[in-house]
Amino acid sequence: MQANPPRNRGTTHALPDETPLPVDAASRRLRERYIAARFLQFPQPAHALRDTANVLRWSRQLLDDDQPRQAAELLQTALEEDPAQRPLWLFLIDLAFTGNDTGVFVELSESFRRRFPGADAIPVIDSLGKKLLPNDPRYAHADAADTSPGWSMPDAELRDALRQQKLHTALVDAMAFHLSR
Amino acid sequence: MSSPPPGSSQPGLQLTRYHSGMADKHSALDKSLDKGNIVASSEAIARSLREFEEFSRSDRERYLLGGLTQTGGDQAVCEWIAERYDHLARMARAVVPYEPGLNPAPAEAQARTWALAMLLAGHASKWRKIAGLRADSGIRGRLHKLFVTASMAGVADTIVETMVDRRSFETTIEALYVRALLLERFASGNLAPKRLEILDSWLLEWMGALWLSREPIADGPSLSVNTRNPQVGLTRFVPGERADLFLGLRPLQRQLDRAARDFRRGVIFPGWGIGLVFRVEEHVGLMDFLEREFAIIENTGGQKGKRFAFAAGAEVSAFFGFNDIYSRALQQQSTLSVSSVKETRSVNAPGDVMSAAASRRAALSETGSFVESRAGRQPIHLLDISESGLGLEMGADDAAMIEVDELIAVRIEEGKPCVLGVVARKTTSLQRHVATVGVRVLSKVPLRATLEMVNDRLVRQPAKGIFVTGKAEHGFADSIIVSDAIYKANPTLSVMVASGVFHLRLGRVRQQGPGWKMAAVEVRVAH
Repeated sequence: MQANPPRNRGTTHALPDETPLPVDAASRRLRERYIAARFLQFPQPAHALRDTANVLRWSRQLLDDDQPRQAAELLQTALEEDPAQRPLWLFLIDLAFTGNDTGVFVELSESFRRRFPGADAIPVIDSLGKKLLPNDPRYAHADAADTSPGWSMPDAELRDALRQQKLHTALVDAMAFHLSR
Repeated sequence: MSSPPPGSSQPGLQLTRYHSGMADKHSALDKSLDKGNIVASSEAIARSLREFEEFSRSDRERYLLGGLTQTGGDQAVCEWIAERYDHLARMARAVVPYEPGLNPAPAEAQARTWALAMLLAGHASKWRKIAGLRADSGIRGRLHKLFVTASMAGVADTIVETMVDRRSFETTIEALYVRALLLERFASGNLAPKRLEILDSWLLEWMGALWLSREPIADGPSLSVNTRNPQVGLTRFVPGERADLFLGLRPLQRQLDRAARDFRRGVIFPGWGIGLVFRVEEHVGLMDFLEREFAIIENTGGQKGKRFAFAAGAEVSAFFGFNDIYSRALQQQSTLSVSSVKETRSVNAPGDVMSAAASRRAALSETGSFVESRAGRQPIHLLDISESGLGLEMGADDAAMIEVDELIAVRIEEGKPCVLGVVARKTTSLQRHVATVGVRVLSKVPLRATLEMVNDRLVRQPAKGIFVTGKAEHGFADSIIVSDAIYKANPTLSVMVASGVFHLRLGRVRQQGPGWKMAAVEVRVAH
């Protein structure tokens, strides 16, 4: 679980483009070259972007690198290839929530509701919506969530945030010392 | 008109009599201009610009496509192009009716003179950067003057039609002013020529988003400009600092999203201009660059940045290559030097902490005599600096020893930490036998780390590392630079930072260059 930074970082402005992908060979080739250049570890995008676990892992790494816009674009790109990848929608919704990007949050959550009616995540999304937009009638029935559901966070057992933070704090202290010399 | 220079079969570009003929035509035009008749003069300069664009198009394209394999002829032609744009820009400025009440020409015609002068100011500034010439110190003041006087004349937001490389645009003097200021800001040293050209095509295509607010932007981060300060262009807006115009970042980010969406649809953006023939990787490289720039502006918004006390042209010290930087530049910038260090931890058990020998080695490096010398024989000068990059000028012989993607450390202020970066571009000016080197900054305070490889040997092997601390508080954006050999060995590394001891693994490579890799840090043990 993570705290909600109440700041719109403009990270998820571009929503997944749900119009059909280009079919002509030249456009398709340019798209693939673009994706390969932008996301280095996807030499065969059409295949790799349908591997949900792989896309999730790479998106989380991009968040680690403090590149939320690139993470959002990767998720959008993967959803353009295969919009049935539910965890990717949830990741984007989480990003919009933690980024306080209300317009994008509403559009994504409505798209999710249309695409996956009756999904278990919908009540959670509604509670996030209530938190973000307390006066919006769409979320009137829900209780406001306190924290993000962590759909954009890596599995906890894979790493130890405290250890990493301890090193980071020590490095920042050392930098401050050298700057003050 | 002169026909394009022959010689396309020759390797590289050559200055020919056709080039000097074009320069002569500009000089003749300059002398014949009737500056009182701004309509005729402005039209004559615009025609001359179109003729020059036609003449120089293949030179510009071939120079930019040449990449790192530039010949002396290439560079001479590039400097000639910059000089021609400079001359045309001077002519265009000379016919601007700075006191419009005195000129009988219709307002629209007057607006076109300002627009042409602003357009050419942007062209000239861009090509000076591409040619690696010293920045024109008066450019910002002239841009401000053009914009302020156009505003006073009431024509800054008049829609005018202008032309770049056969393509016609509807724009305003204000949008052209923003375009010129953004080129100035983003081209400060570390944007490679191809990407600068693509950036310009994007800015011309984004004209509709290049508008200024007279009030601070409430929705998101912004840049600002103080038109009364001729030394400064667009800077990150800091409340309390003097500024009279503001440029919101959100519209630019939306334009960037649009460009990305076009590429994902298999459409090259914007689909015209010299940049059309560049590899997709160049366009993506610019996208990454702009995202980094926007992130820097966004993440540091509201804070007064630490400003370096330097003058343009100030002499600095520079160190090249991982080993030299580790042993000389960062001699006094180690992870052990922290005000909160109270004691050196003792060894408890194998594998838990750093060995005594390593602690001694690290401590010794802190007290060793500090010797600093320049990498080169000639002085190295700082040309410009921004949050993300800096430009240096050095002797061409010294610059010949370094290559793009090499690590570089620069001491900007005596007694202060070295800045660590990567050589992003290098251009050698033949006229002055100097080179400009663009540096992309990795860290303003890199930290030298004395590492030990944790393995089952009795005596642990030492290793060198340089920490590049990320902005994110979670620490997963932190990186360490090590040699290729260390990265390949994939060891667990022990390091002492202040009084803490950490065991690290090297994660994915975030950046790399000749002989070095910058890898994500994964902390496995923290004491």
